[in-house]
Amino acid sequence: MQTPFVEDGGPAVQMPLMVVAEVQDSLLVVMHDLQRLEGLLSHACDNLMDRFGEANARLEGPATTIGGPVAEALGSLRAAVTELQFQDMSSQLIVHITRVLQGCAFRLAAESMGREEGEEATQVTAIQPERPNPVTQSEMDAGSVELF
Amino acid sequence: MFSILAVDDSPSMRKMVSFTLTGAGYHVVEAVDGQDAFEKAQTEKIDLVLADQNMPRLDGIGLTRMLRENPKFKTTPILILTTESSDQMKQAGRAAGATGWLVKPFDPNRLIEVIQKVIR
Repeated sequence: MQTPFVEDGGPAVQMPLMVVAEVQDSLLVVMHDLQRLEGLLSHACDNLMDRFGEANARLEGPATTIGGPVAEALGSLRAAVTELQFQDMSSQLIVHITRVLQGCAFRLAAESMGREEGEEATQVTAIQPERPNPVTQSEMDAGSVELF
Repeated sequence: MFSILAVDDSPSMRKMVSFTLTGAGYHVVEAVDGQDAFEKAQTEKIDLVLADQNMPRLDGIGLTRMLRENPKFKTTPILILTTESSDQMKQAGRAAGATGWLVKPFDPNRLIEVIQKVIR
């Protein structure tokens, strides 16, 4: 069985319903994996932050009086704050990608199998993100500062 | 001691901002989103607001707009710390009354420099 041919609008492609279902399944699997990835990142970051806090607490007292290597270690820890923000940025990226994939999965289902009675036509647009991905950074260097 | 309202829906970001600012001698009040920040701003003494942009319930620009409507926050520095770097979004922040736009990730030393520059 093939999906209905779209008559209005531009060129349309016919696709077997089985293929549509498989693509949709794949999208759902990827979404599930992304959610697991977000959980792993979150867990790793929580642990890192705990270790970070412990190390900082041990170094903070003597560093102000002794200086030298201890102060340098404290400085390195503070510098690591920039890189530790990877979890926040990764998490935002994952949320955005998941919404795009979810929108694709819903659209595939709606276009190929039609909407069920009572199902809102706006469901797909409600899922898809409203704006382009806010995370455009591709590295962990510190971002810009602009005072108005 | 100056008091800074740090607003972010990410617990790890709040920890890092708090860690950086308390280490520099500031008192930090944390809020989980713009609405929470707006409510805390009514009851706490706040000398500067450092807010994320994309948050549930109320975003950073919305928070800025609401705070600027209150005479108490007419001149309080409000910095937006966000992953958003588009000129369009920066201009929206500026129009709402933000003092500055900082793109994540932040460098702790640079953040403290900026805060020292704008805080009164």
